[in-house]
Amino acid sequence: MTFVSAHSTPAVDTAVEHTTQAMIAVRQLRRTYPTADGGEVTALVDTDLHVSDGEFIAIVGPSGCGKSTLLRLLAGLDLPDSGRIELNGHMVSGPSRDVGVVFQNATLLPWLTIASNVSLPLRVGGKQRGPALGTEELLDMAGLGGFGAKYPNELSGGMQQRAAICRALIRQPKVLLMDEPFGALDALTRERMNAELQRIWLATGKTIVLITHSISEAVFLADRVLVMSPRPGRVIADLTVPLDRPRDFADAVGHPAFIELSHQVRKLLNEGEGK
Amino acid sequence: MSRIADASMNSAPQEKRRPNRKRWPGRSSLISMAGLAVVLGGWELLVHGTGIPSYVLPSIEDVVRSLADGLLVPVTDRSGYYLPLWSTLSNSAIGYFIGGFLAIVLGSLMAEFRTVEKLLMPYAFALQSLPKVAIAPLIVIWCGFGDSSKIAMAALLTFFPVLVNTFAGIQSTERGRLDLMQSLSASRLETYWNVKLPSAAPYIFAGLEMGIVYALLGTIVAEYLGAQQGIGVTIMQAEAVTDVPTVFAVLVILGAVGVAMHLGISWLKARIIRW
Ligand SMILES: Nc1ncnc2c1ncn2[C@@H]1O[C@H](COP(=O)(O)OP(=O)(O)OP(=O)(O)O)[C@@H](O)[C@H]1O
Ligand SMILES: [Mg+2]
Repeated sequence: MTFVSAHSTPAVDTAVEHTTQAMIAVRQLRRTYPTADGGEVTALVDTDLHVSDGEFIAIVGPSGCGKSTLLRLLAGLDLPDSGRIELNGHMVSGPSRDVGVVFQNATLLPWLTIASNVSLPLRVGGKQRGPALGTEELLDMAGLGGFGAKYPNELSGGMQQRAAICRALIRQPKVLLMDEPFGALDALTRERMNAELQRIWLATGKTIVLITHSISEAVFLADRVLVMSPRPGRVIADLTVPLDRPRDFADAVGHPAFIELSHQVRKLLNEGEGK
Repeated sequence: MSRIADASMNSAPQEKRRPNRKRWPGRSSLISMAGLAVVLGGWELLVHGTGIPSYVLPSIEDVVRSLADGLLVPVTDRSGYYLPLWSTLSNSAIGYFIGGFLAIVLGSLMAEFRTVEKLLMPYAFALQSLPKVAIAPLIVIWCGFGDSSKIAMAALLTFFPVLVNTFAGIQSTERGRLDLMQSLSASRLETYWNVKLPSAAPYIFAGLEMGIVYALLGTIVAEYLGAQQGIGVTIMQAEAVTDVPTVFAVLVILGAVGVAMHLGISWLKARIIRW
């Protein structure tokens, strides 16, 4: 595949203080929100996270435990109260070209064609233009070849979300952050999208952080599944998925390791709820 | 996906209702026609049945004759309706564009900068609270009896609905779209131009739809207060000699013009906002 980006930024090597291979390194992250009655709610506390270059991480956790908060912090859309986030060896202090974000609802702009939506990142965000992919190539890769001239409301939900993934990839980011990207899709479409995402990941070698409510989605896609506690959220388990790639959904769900791991994740989530 | 689900959910009850409620395409226009027939019939009864003098309520024939007198003449005929109508409409249009443009610019600035909002919003509401009929003489004093007063009144009346709608539209831009632009490091201007202004377009058009009728009203009010030409002048002259059929004829024309302008802007809206 021509999309595999070579991560060669010489400046980084001299700037790196920690000689780890981490693409994302998060330490002791804390984020509180003020409440209407003058108090505050702690969304995230003592959160540590370590993601290697090219790794696929899935994060699961009960609703309201701070998953979106964590993702927004990683994306530089929000700042923590304390703790540090490093991305590719650099402190995160705002949005970066190295990060592509896929939001829960595709957030395509309805007045732009699919092709214009996908290429939007190339038209905004300043002059320091990095390497970019061709819109047509990307759409082809995502199975949307020939739909570039259509408008978002002419596409199904799954197709819209694929277009949103193309948009997140077009600047050749090193990291792809996804917040429940398939949450609004039906089970069957969702499985297909999972297979698509695995294919895109294998083709591009991106580092991916996927937030999801679906245990099977997490176990099927990820190298590691991180489980978060109820609010205030932090990572309470880090489970490695021992399945070979590429995975086939029908085969994987029957695999003993898949069943065992899903069971383990479910128990961790239930324990968290029960306390 | 959700759209497909919605469609299948909605289709069932509709299918059940369809046989009982016979709908055919001409139905709504037939209803309007019937309404018109009732009004005209009642009018005729009133005129011919009771002895109402024609300077109070002219008969339909008289009004139609006045319409024909004013319309079935060369466009440049001094006794026809075309010259005054052109004067009124062109001045309304100029005022409408000036007022609408200023309102979109100022509404955008108010939505983007809190200081501008704080500075201008109170004055905008104060201005809107003043009876325009009371301001009109002032404007005529300042701008004279020529076209500038008419333009100024049209602009003034167009301004407020467009301003308020632009402001509200930009403020209600979806959070997700703003997150998207932030994640792309888009500048404020890029975000405004690519996301906020198009998001606000339906609101702005709602304001422009209201404004177009106000612009016409404003021009005619200015003409009432003293002008050399215009449809307002025609009405006043007819009133001065109790030529009531002409007054009615002009009102009919104005009504038709109002409907035509509304249709025009709706058409424009449908062309621009296709999502
Ligand atoms: N902007 C905000 N202002 C105030 N409180 C917030 C804000 N954003 C999130 N919170 C609170 O922080 C907590 C974590 O929210 P977050 O959206 O990160 O949860 P989540 O894990 O993504 O939940 P879900 O699975 O339902 O999407 C919640 O209790 C929420 O009410
Ligand atoms: Mg969330």
